[in-house]
Amino acid sequence: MAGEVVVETRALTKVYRDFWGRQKVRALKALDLEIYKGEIFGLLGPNGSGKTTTIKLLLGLLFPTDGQALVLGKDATEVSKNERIGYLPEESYLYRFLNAEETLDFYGRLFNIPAEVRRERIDKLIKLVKLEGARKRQLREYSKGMTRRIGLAQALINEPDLILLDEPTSGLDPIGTREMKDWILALRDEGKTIVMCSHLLADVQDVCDRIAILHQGELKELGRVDELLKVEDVTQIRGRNLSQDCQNEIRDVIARHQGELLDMQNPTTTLEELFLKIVRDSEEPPAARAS
Amino acid sequence: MNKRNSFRNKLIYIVGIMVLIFPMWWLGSPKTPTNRGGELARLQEEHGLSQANLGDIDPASETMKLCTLGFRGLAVQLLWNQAQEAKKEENWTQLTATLKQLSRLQPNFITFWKFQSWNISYNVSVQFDDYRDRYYYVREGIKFLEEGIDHNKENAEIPQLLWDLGWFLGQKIGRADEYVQYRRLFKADDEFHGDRALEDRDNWLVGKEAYLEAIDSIRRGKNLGRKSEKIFYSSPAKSQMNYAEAIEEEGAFETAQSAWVLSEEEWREFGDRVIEHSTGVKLKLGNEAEVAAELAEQEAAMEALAPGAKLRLREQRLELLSDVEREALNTPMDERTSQQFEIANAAEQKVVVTDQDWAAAIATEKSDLKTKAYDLAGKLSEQRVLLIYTQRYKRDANYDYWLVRAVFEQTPEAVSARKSSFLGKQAFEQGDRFKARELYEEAFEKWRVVIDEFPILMDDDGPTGEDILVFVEEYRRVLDALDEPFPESFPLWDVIEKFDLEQKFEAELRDHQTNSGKQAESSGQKAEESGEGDAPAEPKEDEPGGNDPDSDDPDSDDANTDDANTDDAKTDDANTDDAETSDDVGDDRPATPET
Amino acid sequence: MVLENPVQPFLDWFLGDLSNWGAGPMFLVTLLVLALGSVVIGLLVSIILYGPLKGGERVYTVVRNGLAEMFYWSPRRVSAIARLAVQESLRKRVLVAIVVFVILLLFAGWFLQSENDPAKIYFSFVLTATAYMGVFIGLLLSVFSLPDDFKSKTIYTIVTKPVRAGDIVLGRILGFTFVGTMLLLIMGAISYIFVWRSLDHSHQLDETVMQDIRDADGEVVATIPQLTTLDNGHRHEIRVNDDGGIVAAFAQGHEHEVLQDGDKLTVSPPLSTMRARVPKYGSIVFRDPNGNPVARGVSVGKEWKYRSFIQGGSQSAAIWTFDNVDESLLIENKRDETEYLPLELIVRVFRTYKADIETPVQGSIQLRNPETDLKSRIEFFSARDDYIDSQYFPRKLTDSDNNPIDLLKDLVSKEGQLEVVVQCVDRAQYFGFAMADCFIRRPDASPLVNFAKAMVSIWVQMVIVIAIAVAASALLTGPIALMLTSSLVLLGYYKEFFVSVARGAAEGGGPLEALVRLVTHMNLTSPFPNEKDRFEIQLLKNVDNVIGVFMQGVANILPDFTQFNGSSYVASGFDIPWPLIVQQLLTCLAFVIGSTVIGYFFLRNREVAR
Repeated sequence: MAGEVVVETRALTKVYRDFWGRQKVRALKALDLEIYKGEIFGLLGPNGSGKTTTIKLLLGLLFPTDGQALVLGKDATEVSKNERIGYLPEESYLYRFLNAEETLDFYGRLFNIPAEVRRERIDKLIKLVKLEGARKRQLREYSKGMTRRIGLAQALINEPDLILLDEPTSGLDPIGTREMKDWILALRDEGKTIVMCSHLLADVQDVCDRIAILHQGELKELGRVDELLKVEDVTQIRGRNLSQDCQNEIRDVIARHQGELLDMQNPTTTLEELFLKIVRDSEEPPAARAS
Repeated sequence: MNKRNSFRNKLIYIVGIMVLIFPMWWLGSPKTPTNRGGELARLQEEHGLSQANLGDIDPASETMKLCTLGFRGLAVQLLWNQAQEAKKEENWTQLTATLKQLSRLQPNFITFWKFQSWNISYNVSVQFDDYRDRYYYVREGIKFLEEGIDHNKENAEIPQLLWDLGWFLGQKIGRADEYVQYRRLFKADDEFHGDRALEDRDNWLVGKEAYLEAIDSIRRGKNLGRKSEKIFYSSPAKSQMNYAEAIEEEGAFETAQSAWVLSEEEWREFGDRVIEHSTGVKLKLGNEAEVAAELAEQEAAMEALAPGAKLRLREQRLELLSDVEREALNTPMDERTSQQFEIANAAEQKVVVTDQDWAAAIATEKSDLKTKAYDLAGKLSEQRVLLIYTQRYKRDANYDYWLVRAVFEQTPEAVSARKSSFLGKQAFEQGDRFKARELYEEAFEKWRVVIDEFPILMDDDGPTGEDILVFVEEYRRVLDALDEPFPESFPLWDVIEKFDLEQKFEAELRDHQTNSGKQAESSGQKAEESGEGDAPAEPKEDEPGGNDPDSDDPDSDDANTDDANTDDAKTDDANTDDAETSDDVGDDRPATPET
Repeated sequence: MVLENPVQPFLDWFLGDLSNWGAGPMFLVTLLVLALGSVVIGLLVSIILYGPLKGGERVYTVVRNGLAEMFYWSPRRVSAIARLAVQESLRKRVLVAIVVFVILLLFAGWFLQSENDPAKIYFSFVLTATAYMGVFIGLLLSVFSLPDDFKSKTIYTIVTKPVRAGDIVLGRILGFTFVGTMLLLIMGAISYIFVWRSLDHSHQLDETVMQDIRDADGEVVATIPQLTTLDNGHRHEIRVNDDGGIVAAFAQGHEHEVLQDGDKLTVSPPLSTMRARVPKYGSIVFRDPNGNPVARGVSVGKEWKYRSFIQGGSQSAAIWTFDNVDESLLIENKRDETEYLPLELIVRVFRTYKADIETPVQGSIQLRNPETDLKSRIEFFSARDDYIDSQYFPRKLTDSDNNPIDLLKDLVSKEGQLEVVVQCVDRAQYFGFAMADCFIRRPDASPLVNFAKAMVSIWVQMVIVIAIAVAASALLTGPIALMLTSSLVLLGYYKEFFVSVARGAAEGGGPLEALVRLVTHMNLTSPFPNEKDRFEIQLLKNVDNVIGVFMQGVANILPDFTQFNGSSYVASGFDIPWPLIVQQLLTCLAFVIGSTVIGYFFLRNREVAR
């Protein structure tokens, strides 16, 4: 499904240096990525693997040490690319002395959006993220979930084509997580491209079309979620309203084809296994890995 | 870093903290009713340095100190600079405002008050042309000093401020070129005096009060610093005399007479006061005769041990001199050549018999008297020193002169002599020349009586003669106006001869001398400059001349320098009043305010 | 008032001439030098760090971005950032500053006791206090704002919007300026009321001493008190004016009217405690005792070289030349319907001998036509030291030969010039003058407007501080930016001294030498022992010279805060000239532009995330 490329990185490298210019951490090592229009792309990795660094490089919050990041066809360090980007930072860094309306209005102004359009969008977004009851309350009084929601609304004020979400579900309760995922999917359905990074595998597995798994600044796996997780010799069977008879019948069918029924319970999160395997592999000594 | 390491580090920190805390506790723990507190509290107590002990506590001052957040030194430095700058740029309003702020920041820094009040009274006031403006700033300086005194009532150095206050009130107002105007304005200054009675509003009297307060504060255990005791303790009595002099000049002779009576009393009191010489010897100025008598007695006692011993020793030593030396010694003083002069001095050193030598001589002659002789010799030396110091101090303070002055000024003759001169002058000013001449001649007759009674007035150091000379000049003016010659019958020729240093009466004197058949001799060679004295008519220098003599060098041989120190020295440093102030300022520039 | 550097006309100041550049060209040159210097230094550093190719490319990107984004800013974004800055300031409770200020004024009475000239003291106090408060608040508000955004990472959500770094810097400068302006308005209003209230007072009549008022024939027409009561630390003498009105005469910078209500006399509130004289200055030259023209008179040994002196009883004179003298400068006296040239003169008297202390030194003044040498009849006056004295010349007057002449027609030259010649009459006494000591007085301006002008000067200082602080905080952390900015402000207040150190003109040598002298307790003026032969001393001096060059560079971009001081005008009751205000506003604008540009480059080229 190679469509229009929205984000492209070429040998993107980031080295953190200390005050004296000494190399401290190689946070990102020659990352090559292409993200296509209309997909939900997940960046996956343990803490410190370079996924947040990648997002920051894409946003121009950091400058690459080497390589290049192109966003919407422009260099990531260019400000004008921001016109069509929405960004939800890790912990909704917003001004706590503003209320929801003021916050959205402020960011709307930064996009140079005319007043009427701004008002319209603010109403729409507040309704969308279900903050109608709290639109006049200062953000300092918001709960974590509400803060995430106003953060999302803020990221959407310009109706962006590309949305970057940094740990969108972290710190949310199960209902909040679900809602967030639904919004993400809905946005994809509107044709927007979404790049998210997370270490919550279930979320990624649920919503992402493609994922990249990073570890220690290196790209370990890249591909469609379904392909990555497909285990050729394993079939999972799920069903609804299956009667005991039906289940027995299925068992019989399998037995008839010399198959063996392993489990008919809920499926395991295999992404987790994949992930752990990658992490394990990378941490083995190079010689052992080569074999 | 393992666990044990970190534990060890913690231990080291704790010990370090304890080590640092201990001296802080030892130095700084505050005083409580039961505990005398740390070292600092103890020192504070010992030297009376705690704020509440020093004088009025001013909440504004405390607030301002707090506001500087520990940068008081810096703030003070900036403000001193600002004050200097304001003074340079003649921005007097700014200067006084800055000084006010400074006084809040360092209210217990004595030098600040001394320096800046002097600055206002002496340096700022003279920048104005109008005498009323001048007076305003003289008084501002005085008020500033008073404020300083209020803040430092119990400061150990308070006598210095009080004495300065007396000095400003007396000398700055009463000895300025414009003293007539200043004294008039001072009397009328309701704002300054409040409800002080009109007759007490004399600057000399108000100054005297301050001097007396200064002396009183010494009694309360405050210290004088390096100020000379001789000057310090003579000040009230001198103020009293200055007062008497000043009101005589204004024509209040009855009051003046009683003021002189009081002066004499106070001056004698001063003579009876034990004063410490700068070497530590204690003496009384009024005691010279007794000291001399005792010395003579002791010498006689020594002589009695072995009569002629001293003389014999001297003879022996003379024998040993070379012929040249002996010749030099035998030549009378004024015939010696300069070479001989030196030789004679050296020779005198060789032959002089000290008390110790004398005792030794006695001891060799009569060995049984050895102890007694040495004992007596010791006492003799001490007594000699005491006599010399007493004489020197008396001379410095012009003690005898002032005593005589106070005594003779209260005599009816002197009072009426002055009164006649005064009235004569008045008559002349009113155009009545004949009456003026009559009054002057009457005055001179009376002066004759006074001088005959008090011949000391004719001494070189007794500038009263010069004082009289002023009347003589006025008299001559009257005569000139009448177109009459100077009469041969004039009773005070001796005054002219002695005191007419400027030879204003050269012609008259020559006529007089020809008439009286004397050889004309130059009167100009008379005596040396006697202007150091305390004459009321002492020529006052014009202010820009201002090189003030230092008055308060403890060993100074200047006679009564306090009065020579007229006024308005327009020097940039305010501390010309006495040597010690300048030292203080040198040490305590604003960068290091009171510690 | 003292005017050490006369205010230049606007064009002279802005353009200057070839030898002495005005502010405009200087600004452009400074900007150019700064820009080129930064590019060169940046290029060098990046070549060292990244090699010639990549380094060059980076610098190119920075410059290209800069040029592209410089003109790409939107008022809406700037205003949004500005609004945010305002909201942030209110959140930080800046209004506390007002409370502090009010408390300061409440306690001001403690150290502002009654003085010779209370208006002067009160005005200089409130204006100085307001200026310090303004600068301080401006500094504190602005210097921590950007660093706080970095710390709380709220900056992430800003820079990921299409906001240019310049918008952020300029928006902040404007926002804080707005807050500061509001605070200054409030403080200004409070100050003005404070001064007005402090100067307002009333007297009663002190009836203990009475005086007789006589008419021309010596008949007693009334008996009135001689003095008012002592209020506010002063009292007035009661006098009868030429026009018959009774006044409480001029003291402490003001006078009162005595109103007659039947038999009862009451003293009015003070008149003209605050004033704003509008002087028209001329240029001054001197004549030496032989009548030869000289630039300055003699020195009488004062440390301050502001005034120079003319000798009395000689041909020595101070001569002011006024340009463009015409009818508009004359005032009309309603009573006798004659027109006058209102000339005011300040004399400093210096006596070389006391003479009669109670008699003022005499001076003479006359008007002269520089073209025809025609002089008005000589007028004598008694010099009143250090006091603004009125010397009004009627339009119809007589020349030195007693022929009637017209002031404008006969004494003013074709070019509109008029000379005022002042001499000292008494032999061997001296008069001291400076340019600003003689002026033609125009109608007074409003003291309130004048006060507002002084507030503008303070506002300018505050804005400059805010601009510098915001620019500095775009690169540095809060405390460091605070230190940098306050150092610049401090240096700005002592710019003259700073420049003199930089040029090696200050006593005590350059910074290193001064440090050595300080530590070794050496005085400022004496040279080091055999300093020519000592290598270390020479090294020290050479290093100081290098530092001096650097300091001179810094001095060029240092705001001279002493120039923004309107308080001396207001305090001494003079109108602040408009050209000065315009100069200050333009200087302020230059700093805002410069700071925005510098702040832009700082913010644009630093990594926001760390």
